[in-house]
Amino acid sequence: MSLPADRATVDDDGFRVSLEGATLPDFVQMECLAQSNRVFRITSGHRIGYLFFNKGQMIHALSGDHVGEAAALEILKWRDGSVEPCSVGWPDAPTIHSTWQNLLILSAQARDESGRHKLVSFPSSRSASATATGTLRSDTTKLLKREEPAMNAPPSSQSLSLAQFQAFVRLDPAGNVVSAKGDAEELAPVAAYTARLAELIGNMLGMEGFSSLECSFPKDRVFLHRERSGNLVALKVPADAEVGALRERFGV
Amino acid sequence: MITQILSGMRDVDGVHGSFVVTRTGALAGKDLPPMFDDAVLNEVGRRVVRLHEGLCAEGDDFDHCVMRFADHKLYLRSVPNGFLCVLSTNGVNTPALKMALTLTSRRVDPLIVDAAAAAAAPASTAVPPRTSEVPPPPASGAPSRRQATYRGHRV
Repeated sequence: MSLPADRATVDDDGFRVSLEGATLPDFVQMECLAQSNRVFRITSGHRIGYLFFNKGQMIHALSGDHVGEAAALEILKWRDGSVEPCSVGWPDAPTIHSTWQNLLILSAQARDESGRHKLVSFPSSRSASATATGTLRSDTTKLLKREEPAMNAPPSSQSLSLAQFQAFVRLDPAGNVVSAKGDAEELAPVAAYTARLAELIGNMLGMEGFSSLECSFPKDRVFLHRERSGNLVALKVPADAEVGALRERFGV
Repeated sequence: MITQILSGMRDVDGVHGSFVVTRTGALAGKDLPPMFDDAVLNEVGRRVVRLHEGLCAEGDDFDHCVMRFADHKLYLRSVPNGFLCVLSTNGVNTPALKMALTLTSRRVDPLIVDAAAAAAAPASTAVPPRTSEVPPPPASGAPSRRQATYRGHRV
């Protein structure tokens, strides 16, 4: 894939726009739908990051500590700041291979988790998503539904709060930790190894498409769930926690 | 005997069949369609053992484990002498299956070690001794009808 180093300069045509109240996901959506080939500097307080767009996809990102998808997800968490086009060097090859839709979903999930301190929550009614206002929010809800059919679980008042989880970790397909909470250091390798073995066992028995695993111990339970994006979610909850909603969502 | 006990698992709607492996992963018995041959199930057994070791790395043994795939589920029940593994559809009646697992695992567990040994024994005796090996001594003084050889020569 050739990257548009020769097109990194900012076009002079068009309007100069200043928007109050816009979010970075709004901006990413706008740039990708416009098929832009540009680089933007994102400034939020003392933090600076760069997002690289090419042919309607975000193909590279840089932040203080990260490169690629991790940087994009970190930048998308920033809640306020400014965006301006700039001309910095393009990478030799894309460092982001997820679609922009997937990045927005991951970002929205991370934001929900950090903001509401809920790792898994279920809408109190189906109409909750339908009443969400704002284009991006409703679009994101649709994307979430498309990405994760298990989110279409029947309405339930049950929810699992952070306090109920002993550990939580989300790994990307390469095994990198995307997000983690609690005592996830030991859970991550166990989850990655177990999921791989489950896939191999399934393949040998002619059962394709590993999606979830639940393992019950005397003191706790471990849940694994392979998301459609390829990410692996692992949770550890106490044995006496109410897990009916979680089972329903993961299909175990 | 194990196959007969395992066949009871299929009383639960949605269960395709089941098999039992020892703590080392050796196949001890199965009640599955012929397409699941023993070699595959032995390999699956070894992976089940590794999966168990991975999940139980912190020390506690698991009671049961269920894996969900696109159209099927695989249940593992840990018993003292091995693992009872059950293949089912995703729509299987879970409470009924758990009850069947509990009853079946109680009856199967005491038989696992003997069944695995019996399954291994015919395989070892069925292979004829290579002529390069020293023949076994004749049993209890009875004359041997087979001509003894050593390195291909009569002795």
